[in-house]
Amino acid sequence: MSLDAVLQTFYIEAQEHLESMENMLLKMDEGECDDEMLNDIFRSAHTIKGSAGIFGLDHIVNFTHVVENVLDRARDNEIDIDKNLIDVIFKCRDHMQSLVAVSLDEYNAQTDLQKTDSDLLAALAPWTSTENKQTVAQNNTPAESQLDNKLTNEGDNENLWHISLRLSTDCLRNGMDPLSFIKFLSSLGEIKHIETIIDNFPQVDNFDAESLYFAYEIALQSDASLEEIENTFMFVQDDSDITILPPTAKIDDYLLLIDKLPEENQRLGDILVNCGSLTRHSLEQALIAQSTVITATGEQTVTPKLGELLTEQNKVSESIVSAALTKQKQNKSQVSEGKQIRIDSNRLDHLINLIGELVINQQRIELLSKGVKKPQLTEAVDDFENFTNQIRDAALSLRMVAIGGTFQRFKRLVRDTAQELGKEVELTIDGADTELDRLMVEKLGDPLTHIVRNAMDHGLESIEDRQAAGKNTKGQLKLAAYHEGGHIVIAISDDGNGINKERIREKAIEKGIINTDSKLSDNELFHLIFHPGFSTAAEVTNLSGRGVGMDVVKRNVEALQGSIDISSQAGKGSEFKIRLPLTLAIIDGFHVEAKGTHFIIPQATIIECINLANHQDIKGRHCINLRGEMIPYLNMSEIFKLTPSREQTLADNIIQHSPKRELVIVQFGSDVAGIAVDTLNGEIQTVVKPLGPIFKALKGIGGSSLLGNGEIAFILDVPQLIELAIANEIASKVSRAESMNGQ
Amino acid sequence: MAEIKVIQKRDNSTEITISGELTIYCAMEAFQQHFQQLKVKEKTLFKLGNISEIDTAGVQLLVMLMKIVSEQSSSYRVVSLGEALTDYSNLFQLNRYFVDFADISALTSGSEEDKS
Amino acid sequence: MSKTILIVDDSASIRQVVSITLKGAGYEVIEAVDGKDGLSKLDGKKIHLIVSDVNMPNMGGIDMVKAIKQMPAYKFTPIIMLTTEASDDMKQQGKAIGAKAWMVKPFKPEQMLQAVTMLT
Repeated sequence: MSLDAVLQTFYIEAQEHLESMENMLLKMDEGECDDEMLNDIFRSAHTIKGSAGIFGLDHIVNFTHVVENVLDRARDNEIDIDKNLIDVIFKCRDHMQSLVAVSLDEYNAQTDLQKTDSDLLAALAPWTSTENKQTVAQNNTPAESQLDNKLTNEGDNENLWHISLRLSTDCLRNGMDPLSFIKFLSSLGEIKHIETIIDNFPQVDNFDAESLYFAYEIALQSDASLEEIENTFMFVQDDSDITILPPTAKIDDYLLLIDKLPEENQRLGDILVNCGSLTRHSLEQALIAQSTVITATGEQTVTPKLGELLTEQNKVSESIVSAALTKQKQNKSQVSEGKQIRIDSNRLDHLINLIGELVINQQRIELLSKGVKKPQLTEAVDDFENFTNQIRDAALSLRMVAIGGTFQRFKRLVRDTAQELGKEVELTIDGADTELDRLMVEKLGDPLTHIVRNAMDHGLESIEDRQAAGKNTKGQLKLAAYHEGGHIVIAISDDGNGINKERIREKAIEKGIINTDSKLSDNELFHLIFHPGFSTAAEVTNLSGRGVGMDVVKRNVEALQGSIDISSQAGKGSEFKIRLPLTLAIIDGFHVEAKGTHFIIPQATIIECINLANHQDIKGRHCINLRGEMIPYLNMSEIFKLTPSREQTLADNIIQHSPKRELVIVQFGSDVAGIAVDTLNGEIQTVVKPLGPIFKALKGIGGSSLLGNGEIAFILDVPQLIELAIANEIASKVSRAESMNGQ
Repeated sequence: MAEIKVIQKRDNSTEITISGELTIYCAMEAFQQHFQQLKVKEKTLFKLGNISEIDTAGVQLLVMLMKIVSEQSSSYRVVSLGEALTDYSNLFQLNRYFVDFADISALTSGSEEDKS
Repeated sequence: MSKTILIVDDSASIRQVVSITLKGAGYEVIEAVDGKDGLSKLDGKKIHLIVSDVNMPNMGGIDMVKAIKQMPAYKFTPIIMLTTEASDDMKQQGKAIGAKAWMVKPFKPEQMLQAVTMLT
């Protein structure tokens, strides 16, 4: 175990805590604030400080200590949480992040870090206390602490904890002797009283000398935190019933405990009184109240159950009780839902690769089995396919990650950017649960950041402008994610000014991208934004408008086999829509052939297939009229300059000279085009193997795949092909016009 | 391991001496060999002064033993305790029962009175 | 009289850290490099607690614990198992045979000391 490895763990944990603190702060910023949040944020700081201490990272300890103090006062309601404090804590949290990233030596050498330290500590001054406060953590069993009650425990409860132990009978056999941990417990404070309960002792004949029969009720006077006391019993938690009531526990908590424990109520009451955890008086009052209840109609009911008692006396309690119970269940389910493990992403990729090979193999076997007419074999192969698909889907789902995490990070960005720009912006998030491939989530970060910044900088107007336009001063920014067709759509919309078409036009002409008389549709105009070197910002602001942003965005999105669409209305707002395939690893495709070369067309893009023999080219252009719509198409063999193999040529010659050609009509975004091929081979599911770097420049191919018969198939990159088709069409339009003019 | 001697005296009293380590390792054997079938007539004396080490299983054994004895005879007394048992008794606040020679029945009723 | 702890782990640095930490607190420490070695150290002297890794060559932690549970002189000795991941399967196996206390590596020396103090 090297120190480095342990430091790594500390670093990762600290990061998680810092992230959690940020999320809490963001919520508090928006006005939410409850005890639990304050507790959580305090605990995070506390934990970071504690762990840092182990490693002698004094710079972290010293700074965090002050922050922790302030947070402690906040959760004890000693100070008010206002916007100013939240701002300062935000900055402190950021500073903590910087501190965590450096060693003590590095810190000592960096005066700017030290300066930030003292600046922030000074900023915290109004809220810090000079007392040395000891921490006594809150009772964290919600159901018990939230119950209303009229009877307070009059016992001497100065730092007096009550601990009820009903341990597993196997404790002694497993080497967990209460002797050891009660001794340990006594080191945390003073055991004022301990009752050893022998009610569970069996008859002589049933006595097992190696089983544990003792039970304990303990009154412990201690300054320790709940966590420290709980930790004492961490190894015996399994199969044991351990209840810890803090000094602040109310009488109802004790009543609940009495009710819960197996021994008889009166006896338990006596035990608790003996412990000093309860006074005789409080107990008697509660038990008397328990035995008769006067209902609203004035009737007397005798000895209702304890739980009913509480609800009768305090109608409010009922909703609190059920809320508390729901919360408890929620907490429990959160704990089990949050059961996650970390996987090395390389291992996951390796697994998916292997499954890809498995799928290919399965397809091979399927092909081969088709030749063998054995029904049992066919059935077995079918089952095999079924399971292979399930395994494939299950493995792929491991790569899926909810986009909510990425979206959440934007809250901070939006907040900070809004502050910088002096604008008011409200961010709404929709579809945070939408899942996409983990790789994509990583690669989307930058493009999204750019678009969001762009929207905030150029799209949303200043407060004055918005007021003048009669809009709400708070600009609306929305991040949405949803499934559509075979794709994931991520939409960033704002209710700002909309994209200034005139400005774009001017700029494009200025940069020589288009001519003064070029006629462009709105869509084409907007897409000019993605041209390299383009920027409409009058000044290059720090945020965006440097001209390197948007084209990189487009490239990044296309690298993910996606596309990006823009729509905008002057004065109303704009929307950027990014479309992405669900996964990059496995594709549902349509297998086609052209001159003996195999291609796969992503199924999600296919609208229909028609036979070209029935349609006429229009005026010699690669274009057909399909039900009134003009659809340009590409000839596979021409685009890729395919030369058929000798066998193929022979086969062609044998068939006929007018090859019946098929046209696959595909769509991407709002564009439609056709792909002309020789044969259609049907649906296929296959693993995408990325192209090597040599082929990256090849437009139109997005990857390759190994077919069941051992042949390689090229996966078509439909958006690129469509672009190609449209560009060709425009080019041939222009050249025809030129040839007509330049005659 | 524990050494257990049960001596029936001429005046019908019983003397039970336990020495050595009374722990879970020998608890089963000790119980089966000496206590399960134990029959006492009148007074019983416990000489526990030479117990060198005791754990919870050992204390449970003593409690069981005292229960067996108190069900059969009129009274019992703990004559000597030894350091190990005293320490355990102090920690678990069982002094009333071991040190003050109180009756085992006091443990079950939870009363605060001592009986002797 | 001081108590004796047996540390079984194939990693010398882990044995070192545990040894130094516990010795500093007054314990006596015996080291073993794997399950077999661990069993050989259980030769009759009193051991108050065993700390053992799970994955070791020659004989792993789980097998060693199974064997210990068959030894009359050691079957009730408290055992703390060490693991590098929160691997539920190992834990369940261990707990089923009576190894109830688990610690995840890397642990802080204080944690180890606290755990040992709690169980001895």
